[in-house]
Amino acid sequence: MAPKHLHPKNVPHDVNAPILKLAEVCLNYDANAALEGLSFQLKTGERVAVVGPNGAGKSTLFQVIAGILPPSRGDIHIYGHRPGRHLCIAYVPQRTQVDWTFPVNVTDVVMMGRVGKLGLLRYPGRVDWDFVRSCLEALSIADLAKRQIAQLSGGQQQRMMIARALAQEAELMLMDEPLTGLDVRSQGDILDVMDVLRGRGVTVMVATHDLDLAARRFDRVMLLNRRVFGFGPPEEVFTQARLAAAYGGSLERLGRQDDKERS
Amino acid sequence: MTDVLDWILAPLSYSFMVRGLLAAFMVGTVCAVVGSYVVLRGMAFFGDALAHSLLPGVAVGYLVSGAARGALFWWGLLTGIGTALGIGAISKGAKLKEDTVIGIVFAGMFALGVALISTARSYAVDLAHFLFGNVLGVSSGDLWLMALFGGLILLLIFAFYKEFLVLSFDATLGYTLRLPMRLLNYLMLVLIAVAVVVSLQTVGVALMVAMLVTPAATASLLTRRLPAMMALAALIGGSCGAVGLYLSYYFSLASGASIVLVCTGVFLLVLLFAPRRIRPWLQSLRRSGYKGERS
Repeated sequence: MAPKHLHPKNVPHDVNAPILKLAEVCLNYDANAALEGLSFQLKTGERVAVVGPNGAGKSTLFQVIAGILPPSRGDIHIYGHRPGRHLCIAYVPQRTQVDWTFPVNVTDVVMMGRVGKLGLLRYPGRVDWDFVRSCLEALSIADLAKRQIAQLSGGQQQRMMIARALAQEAELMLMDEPLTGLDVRSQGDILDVMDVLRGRGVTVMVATHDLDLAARRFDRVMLLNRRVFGFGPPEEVFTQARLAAAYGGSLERLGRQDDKERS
Repeated sequence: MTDVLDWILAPLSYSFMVRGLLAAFMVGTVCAVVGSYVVLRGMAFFGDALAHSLLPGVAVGYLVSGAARGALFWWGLLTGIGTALGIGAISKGAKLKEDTVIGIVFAGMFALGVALISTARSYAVDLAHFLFGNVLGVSSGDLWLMALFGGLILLLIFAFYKEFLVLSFDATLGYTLRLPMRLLNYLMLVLIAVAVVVSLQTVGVALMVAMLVTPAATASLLTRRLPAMMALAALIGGSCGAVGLYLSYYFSLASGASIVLVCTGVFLLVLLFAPRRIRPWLQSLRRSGYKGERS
């Protein structure tokens, strides 16, 4: 395994501060509130599922945390500092948002994670190639290093994107629907990958529709629909009353919708 | 054999043909490399609009400085960069969809250019040169400018290769890597604009988009990684430029149209034969290559 940090960070980390802390974060699109008064903290190395109906603001929340969208109000702190210049947050996009016909192979994509640390006008050196190699090995896709991305299966695509986040040396990974559209075996593989990440002290936030998986495989779950309807251990959060409040009348339909997405 | 050699060498006794060939080759190469990003990012309409939007700038230069062709390049450059940044800024701020904004700017600028040129006496001939190019009128001064700016474009694309790759493949990643994404996007728009200005005299504004898109699209059918796609696109663009000019010489065709038709012909040939024949063949070649390395 290569050294954890090959290049100096842009932002110093206050290791006593929580990896992520939100205080009264709001985001408005035009006049509509997309996120309202979000306050919570994450512990280093924990695995959190964010669940909620379509349009609940799961992707928006991730983009705000990653520093892609500035919040309208409130504060976000990563290890005690604003997210603006942190390189340690990775956003793993939904697979449907990626152009899989793009002429790159798996190594090319994972190497993209190194671009921020490399800096302008510098090309990857041997350390970077070795580091990318070790990321591929950590995700058990070293044999796919030269594979065209169009030829990957859904589970392999997802693992490549997580390897890219590792190459970025991310300490907080925000994964948007990483389990959607995968068969049960690939879902299991991705969940195993999350155990590997936990072993490396990586904190993971996952947006998912799957209440059942969220309850079984995550330390804490967040029930989100524009605001937080509950955040804690699954058995405390997934109560009939809270689910009904977050999903409104659509809870009965939710079960059927989940079946459709999985098939 | 000597016939073929004669066929190739005969036009070279005219210095305007030599200059034209160099220009066509340079334009083909530079546009194809820049065009690889145009194809991958789905910016064909932007490229087309940008080319058409050069017309009013060139028209003003033409009315102000008359016969002095060298000045047109700078007028074109100014307009091209201005339009590229303008479209970039408007489509970011406005609530309209980007292609709508491009459509409005494109048609408005083009109409302004035609109106300006129509005030001159030799209207029809000059308009035709702006629309479809006049590669045989390229002077050696023009050639130096094209080489300078074309070289600069290639240099910047090489220097910012990894950043442009991130911008094109996954802009969101670029933001989390804290790259200056807005700046990089504008830089790419400006590079496309400069490539279009460099090509103005060779293919003209109306056919420009073909030089950006067709060789790059052809190369994308035959390659699997971006550097290879760019290299092959440059080869296709450059040689189509030269071959097109020869055809235009021997068959008395309009040069810009001839070059574009050769590009289109090569694309159609590759499209017909590549997916089923060349591609699997390339893949099997590559696969056996890997085995060879290991054993």
